Amino acid sequence: MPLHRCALCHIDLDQVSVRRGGQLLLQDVSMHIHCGQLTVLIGQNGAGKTTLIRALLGEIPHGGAIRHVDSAGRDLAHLTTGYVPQHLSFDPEMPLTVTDFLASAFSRRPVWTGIRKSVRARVAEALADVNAAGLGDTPLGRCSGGELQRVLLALALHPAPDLLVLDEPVSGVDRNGLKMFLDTVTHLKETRHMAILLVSHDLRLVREYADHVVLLDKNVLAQGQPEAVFSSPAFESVFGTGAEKTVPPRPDVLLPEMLLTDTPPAHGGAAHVHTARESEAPQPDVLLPEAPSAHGDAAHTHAAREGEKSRPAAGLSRIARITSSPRSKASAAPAADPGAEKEADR
Amino acid sequence: MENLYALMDTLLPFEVFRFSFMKNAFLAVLLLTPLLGLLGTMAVNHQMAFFSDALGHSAITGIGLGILLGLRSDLMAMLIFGVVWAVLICLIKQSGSASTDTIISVFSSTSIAAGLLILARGGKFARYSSLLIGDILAVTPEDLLSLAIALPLGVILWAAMYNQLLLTSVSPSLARSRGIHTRLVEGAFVVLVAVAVMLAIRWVGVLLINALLILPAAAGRNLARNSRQHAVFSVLIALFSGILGLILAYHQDTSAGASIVLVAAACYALSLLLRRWRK
Repeated sequence: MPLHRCALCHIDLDQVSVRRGGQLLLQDVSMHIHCGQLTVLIGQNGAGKTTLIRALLGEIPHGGAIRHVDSAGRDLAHLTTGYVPQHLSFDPEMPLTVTDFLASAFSRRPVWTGIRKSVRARVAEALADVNAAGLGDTPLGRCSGGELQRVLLALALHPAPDLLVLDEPVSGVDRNGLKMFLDTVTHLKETRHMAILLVSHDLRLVREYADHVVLLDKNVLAQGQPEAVFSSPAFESVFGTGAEKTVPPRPDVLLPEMLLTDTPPAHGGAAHVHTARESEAPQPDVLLPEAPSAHGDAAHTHAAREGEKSRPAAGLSRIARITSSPRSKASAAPAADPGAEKEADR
Repeated sequence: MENLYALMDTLLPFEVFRFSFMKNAFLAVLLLTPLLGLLGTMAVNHQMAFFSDALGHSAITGIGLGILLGLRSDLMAMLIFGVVWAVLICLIKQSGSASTDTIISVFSSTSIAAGLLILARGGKFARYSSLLIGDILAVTPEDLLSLAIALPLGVILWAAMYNQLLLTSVSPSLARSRGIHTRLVEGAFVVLVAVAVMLAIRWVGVLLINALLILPAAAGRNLARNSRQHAVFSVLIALFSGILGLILAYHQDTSAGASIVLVAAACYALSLLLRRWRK
């Protein structure tokens, strides 16, 4: 599958395949996970999402290549990965506080002999970073699903990862908890510029938060911006006819539609944003593996860049994007060039 | 050794410690119970109580095989077989071919059957029946020396692997993502437990060894709020049970191993009450 190149580093998955017990679990998965972006894996149960994560983490052998490369495709230093698993297998009655848990990863000194002040300070700082300050003395087994997710995120961020892999829990965390978690993740993405891969089952939140969506079913069925993937035929074939309409579009992409009903913009990037209404039209920035392209790679590259332009400016927090005035957002969106901003960030 | 006995006479001028076999038993309790108490914390948290029970049973096979192979030392035979058995259980468990309790049950019953088959040949099992209940009053100064070497070594190894094992017990995949070789860490832990169990089994017995490993840690867990408290309570309860059990056994003229375990069981019951009261 042709893939566009950004000006930044990324994790390059090239024809990754996993075979186990004679069964093909993943076949020729090619995708990029870009730094400074939230890439979300979606798909039905058994589509290979967890297998792909395990391959990324080096837990299982795989064919193809997974490389951490710069914009020119040159290999970068060893990939440091932070991982938030979907669930933990521990006994909830275990006398283990959140501080014990994090300190066991931050320090070599066995936690049953005590925890140094400096390590306690690091733990407190790590928890504060993910809006979990005050959880230090809570037993790990008493944390709610959302709290546990943030504690695991605090752990995954130390040492600072190049790639943050988040396996969203299927149950145990309510939507508010997930939103709070994703707000924190979005803030991290924007301030620390790491590549983030999220496996999510909540399509509504995927649509709201993702920068890049990959629809998986053993191989990549579609990938691109959320609106594009959600309105693709592949999405409909996986999740059923009309599934896309059951997922409300993200608040920021409603804006052009709202403007269309009030005062349609004469031109600009807002027109490039795919809305639910536009979804019936062919989507140029959906990368369909099987779809023959008359223009080859160049067409896809162009389409992807066009898609980039439609996104609001990177660096703005998600909360700001949702709560700021629609008109100011609409006028800001066309001018925003995430690629340029990211370059400046570097 | 004489100096140590003299020191004990000065510090513990009680009738119960008048005899050297009681002094030896007391020292053995001081050396064995802290290690078992520490290892027990992870065995309990890792839900491995049944595993250590199976390890205890494997001692019978170890001695049997030692006799067949002509090994002079029963302890060496038990240690070698116990370690091999522990690693085998661990490997099969990690392969995920069956549920953990099924695997452990298979190994446990196999080792008892194989041990009995060998030791009961020619109706000679009575000679080995002391292995079932143990005899802490039979500890010799040489045994104490080996325990004195094993305790610090065991604690050092335990300290070195603890954090990694803790992360592994919470989530193996999370631990692996942080560069922890989870199989190696789990393997090292089961080997350490096997060695501690085999060192203690002659004094506590196959039937009771697991209780000494699990009960103090289970009681400590009811009282503890964090890892440090768990370790401290577990070691203190193990020491308290060992010393009080030994004294009670002396006064009641009964099995020391059984008394120690019953005191530990009483501590567990008390800890349950305290836990409910605290809630």
